[in-house]
Amino acid sequence: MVVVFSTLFATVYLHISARTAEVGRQIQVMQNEIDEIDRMNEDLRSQLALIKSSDQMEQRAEALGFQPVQMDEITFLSVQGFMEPPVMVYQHRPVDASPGIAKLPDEYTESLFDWMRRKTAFYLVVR
Amino acid sequence: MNENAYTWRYSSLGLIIFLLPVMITLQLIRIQINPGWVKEVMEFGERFEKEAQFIDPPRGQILDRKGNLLAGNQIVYEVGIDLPKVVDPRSIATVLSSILDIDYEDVYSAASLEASDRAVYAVVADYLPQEKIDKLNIFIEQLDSEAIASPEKGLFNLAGIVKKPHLGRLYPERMIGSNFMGFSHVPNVGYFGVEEQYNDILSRPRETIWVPVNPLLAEEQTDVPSGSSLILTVDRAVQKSMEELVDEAVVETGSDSATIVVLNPKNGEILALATTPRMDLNDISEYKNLFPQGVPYNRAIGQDYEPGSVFKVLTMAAALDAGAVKPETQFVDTGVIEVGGLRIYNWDSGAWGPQSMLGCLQHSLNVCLAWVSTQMGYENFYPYMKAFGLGQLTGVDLAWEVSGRLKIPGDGDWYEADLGTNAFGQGVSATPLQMAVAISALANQGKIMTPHIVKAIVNEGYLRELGTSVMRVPIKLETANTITEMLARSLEIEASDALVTGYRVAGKTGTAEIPTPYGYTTNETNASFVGWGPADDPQFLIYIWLERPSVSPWGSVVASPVFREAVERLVVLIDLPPDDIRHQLDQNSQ
Repeated sequence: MVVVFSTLFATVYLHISARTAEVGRQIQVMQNEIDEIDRMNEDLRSQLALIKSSDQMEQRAEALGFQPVQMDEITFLSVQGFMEPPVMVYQHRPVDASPGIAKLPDEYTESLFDWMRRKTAFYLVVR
Repeated sequence: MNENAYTWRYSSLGLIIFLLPVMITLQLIRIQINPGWVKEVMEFGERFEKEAQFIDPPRGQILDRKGNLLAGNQIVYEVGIDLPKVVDPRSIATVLSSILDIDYEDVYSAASLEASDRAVYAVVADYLPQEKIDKLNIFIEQLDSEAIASPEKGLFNLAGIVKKPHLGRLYPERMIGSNFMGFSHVPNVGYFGVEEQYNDILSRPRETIWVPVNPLLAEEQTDVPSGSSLILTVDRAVQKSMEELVDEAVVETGSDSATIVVLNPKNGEILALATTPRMDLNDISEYKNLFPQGVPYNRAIGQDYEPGSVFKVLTMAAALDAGAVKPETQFVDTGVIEVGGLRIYNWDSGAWGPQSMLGCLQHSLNVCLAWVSTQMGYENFYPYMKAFGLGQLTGVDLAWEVSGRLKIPGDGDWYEADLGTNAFGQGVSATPLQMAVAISALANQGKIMTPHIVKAIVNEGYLRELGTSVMRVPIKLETANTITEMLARSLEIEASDALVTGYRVAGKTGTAEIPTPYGYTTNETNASFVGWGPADDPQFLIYIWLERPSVSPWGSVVASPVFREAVERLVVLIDLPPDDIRHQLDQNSQ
């Protein structure tokens, strides 16, 4: 009986350890992917700016038949209720409200013993 | 063999089997009860538990006042050699040197290094663009497929080549604003302009993160924040337009260089800072050719010069403010005046007879202005000039600003004659920005606002506006309004080339001989113009400097038209309506 239970316990423990290791490896891979995506984001922002650079925009505008406006070609209109747009528009990047606090669920961070301890405590409290 | 002999052997074996775990247990207890040992053993274990990862946080972006990206980051690559994996150093050197355009011998010597505990990796090239890495990847892929197709061929063996992506600086606008932007192509180091001045804010030091090798210990990595971003006061469209105008002015006037400063006198914001030469910030290989020894990176802040007659507006403002003269004060110009033993003449060596102060400014009479300064006396004149900020840094947030020179009584090289010559901008030097900032007091009710080029800092998604502040108040509001009116009228009476249809502007030309070790040049000049408008509510101040124009030495001929052109372009780009429409709009809004 002891041998059977020991074997069962060892099997479960090994299975959970293997899964934890696999998840740990996934976390490491995902972390690398996050770094790569962050880099790509920065790169894409700059590539977009290259496409929207003033020289490029000017060329495209000229190709579409637009010409730089001259001072005497402008007509000013008085529009009631017109609100002048803000000089600068900047999109605030969302910021984590609780920086520094781990966001991973418990399954990814606790050991078998932690899990058993947590569950035992839970049942003790419930009863 | 008798039984006792076996008993002895069994007992000995049993004792050893018993003692070994006892000794291990004792050792464990000894380690556990000795904190020093515990620490040492744990540290030893940790060395193999985690590996170091070095992270260079992305450098902050630089944007113009409308959010256009002026400096960002792009993916570049470091190519290195994993020494323990190298099989054929010659193959590596041949391929890398031909595809990446790097020296064969350098790569070969790096690839031939003996791998050891201390030498495991060698960098052969860095900051390589994606295109080169793509070429390298295609070559390696072709090589692999050929090796599979015909394994009998002795192909290149490129084992050991490593390509690591990281971020490098990219300037999407290339040359636009290069003089105030500066550049940064080395981690955490900025050169010139905003990149150098705000380097500590834009960059963050390299972070070392310890990543667990054991996947069972995998943990969430803390975010490494990137450097803060900057939003400038500069408008990309205005900057580009002024740079085009600067280039045109150099060609049309045959000048050695040209500089245009555009600022808002009401808040000290720099809208454009255009000068020559400029450099493509993505290709700094031209730096040494464009900026040889003695050529400042940004003439607007880095080169002082004797401004000549544009300085007269400061002298007249000071005299009016001090009560030494009034606009209607009459001066009889005889064509010469002696100050401190030095005879001073007009620009045309002529005598202009009776003149009001307006006439003195309109005809730019050296004799009259020298007289005005003597009316003030040096004890009044120099404190005013210091209050305008001459001889001092403006404190603009750009690296490598120079202060110019204002000699004052008490200095070893100051003479009484300097009072007369300083009055019309000779014997005193200032940068174009310094002049613009000093004269901004006249356009802003007597107040000089702190000049600045950074409008806001964005850190972790939060934007902090830097605001504006009054730096000095050298003259009274009434004086500022009076001299603005005098200068607007003088341009109108003169029918100056600087006048702009629909917009009333105030301004003054300047033509200055250039000092040399042997005296002043007679055939080369610095031509300048300073102007602001609309005269009744100034929204802009423009300062023009043309260095050694060859078409004409006179500021009124070469610099005034450049000012008019600058205003005509600026009012379109900043949506400033003509005066009559603006007044009408103001009435409607009341």
